[in-house]
Amino acid sequence: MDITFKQVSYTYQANSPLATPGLRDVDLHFASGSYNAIIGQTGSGKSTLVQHLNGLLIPTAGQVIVGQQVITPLTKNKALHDLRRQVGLVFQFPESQLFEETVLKDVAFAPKNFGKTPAEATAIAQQALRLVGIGPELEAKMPFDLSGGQMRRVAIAGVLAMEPEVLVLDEPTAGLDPVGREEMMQLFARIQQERQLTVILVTHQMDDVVRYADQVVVMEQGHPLKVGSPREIFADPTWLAAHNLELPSTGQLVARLQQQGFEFTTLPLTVPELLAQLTPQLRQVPVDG
Amino acid sequence: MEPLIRLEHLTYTYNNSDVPALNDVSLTIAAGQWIAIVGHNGSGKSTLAKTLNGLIEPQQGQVYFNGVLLDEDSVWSIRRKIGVVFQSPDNQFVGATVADDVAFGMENNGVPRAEMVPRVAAALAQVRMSDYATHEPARLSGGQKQRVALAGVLAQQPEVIILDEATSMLDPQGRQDVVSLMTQLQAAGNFTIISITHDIDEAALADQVILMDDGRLIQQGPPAAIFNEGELLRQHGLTVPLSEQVRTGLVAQHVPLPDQYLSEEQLVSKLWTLHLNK
Repeated sequence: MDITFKQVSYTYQANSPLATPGLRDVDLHFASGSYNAIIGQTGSGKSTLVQHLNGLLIPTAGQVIVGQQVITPLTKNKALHDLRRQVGLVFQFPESQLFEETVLKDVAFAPKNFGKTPAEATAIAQQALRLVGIGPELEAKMPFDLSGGQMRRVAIAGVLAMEPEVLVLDEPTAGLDPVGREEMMQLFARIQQERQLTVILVTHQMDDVVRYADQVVVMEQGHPLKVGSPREIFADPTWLAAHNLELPSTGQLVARLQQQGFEFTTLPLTVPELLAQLTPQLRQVPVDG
Repeated sequence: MEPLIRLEHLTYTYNNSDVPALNDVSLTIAAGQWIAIVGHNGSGKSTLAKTLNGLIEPQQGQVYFNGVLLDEDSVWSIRRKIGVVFQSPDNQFVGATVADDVAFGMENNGVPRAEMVPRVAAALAQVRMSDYATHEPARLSGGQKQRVALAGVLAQQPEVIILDEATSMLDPQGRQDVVSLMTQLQAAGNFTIISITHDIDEAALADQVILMDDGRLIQQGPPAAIFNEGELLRQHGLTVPLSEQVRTGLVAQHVPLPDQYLSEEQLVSKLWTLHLNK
């Protein structure tokens, strides 16, 4: 599902003395089936931007076009019913939104709410649970009896059970350990491939941006400062530093190596890329035989 | 010399569980050290920290603080020597202003007002938040909130500061702020810092790393010794530091590098000596 922002501005507490700009003049396009990352400092407008995707916020000016639906400052809440089903949001600590008495009921809640019969809702919920790696043996458990990682998976299954076409991930791995984070990110990548979803990921993890995103949007003061592929965005370390953005972890090591006279034709974004450019510049011991 | 903290054969199982969260853990921590406790979620590292100030009473084993056995009589005086900063900055504020919040712990411990006021000011200065003394805590950034929480701990003049994943919720700038502040405080003061973290780069700053898994102590040693064993880290659910990934990658290509962990700085200077075109 294609998403387009046309001249979108959003003002918090508009028409009051406390009015503060959240977004200004945002023109963006997220292609159907693409994986997009939004980066920028805390307070740069990343979360404000993604809250426009399912009408949690309505623009103060301009248009947000999600598939066939056009959202303008005049759009009424009840016109957003379909949109809310089509765009799934996973926030930080999604497990805090679990509330039903069993895992299966929790995940089946959304499809039931969107008009499926109980039998259909259960089937959809079971499918979503399998997708996130939760087996049938956990379906009758209370969500709160599960481990933290399992709770988070159930919460994500709850979003997937709405069968959304767009998945918005707002720092979904906050607080997870490295292995948990990696599993979660691979889970999203797999779901995106299997269901051909459009993904919009808000993150501070530059290594995830390099690894997964097709397109990166850099936000600053409510405005997209730069849009491009990870390679384009991370090509200029001086520019990134000027805007308080980190490099992927390889980038920081590369900067140190460059200071020592090593040369890189393009910025290596992964360890294999780094090794490929570094090894020819180093003395190697001859191998016997 | 008696270590600051000595744990002997601690075992603890939570009420609703049948596997122990701590399983026969013995270790010592010397005064003035920076200790990083690492391990994946559920490895027992937070439980271990909670035994140090008696928030959790192990079913078996003993905790000694400065040679004193932690028990019902000593728990209150020991607890006063240990300050804790938790993971979520939003769940630990009680005061209406930043200064009130910093004073809260001292009020609880019955510190007279005349002594409290300069201690609040000094603690806020230490974390570089003096300009915010009259601000509402809720309106601060994540990094600022954690600095205020840290000031509240410093004002109580503890001997040990425990950071329980205190940087894991912060953005890169906030995390950098807190970590550099901790480095300065430890260099300047007589603190022992116990940092519970799964950020391997943060653990690299420590004097000693304690690796936990399944409630057991897997290994304790300087970062170089622990990070040397990439496979060990991976097995226990942690990532391998980037410099170690690069080092092993280059060794596989027959680049003559030492057969042990190198920090990024050490790696770069070693590579410089092997540079063909210098």
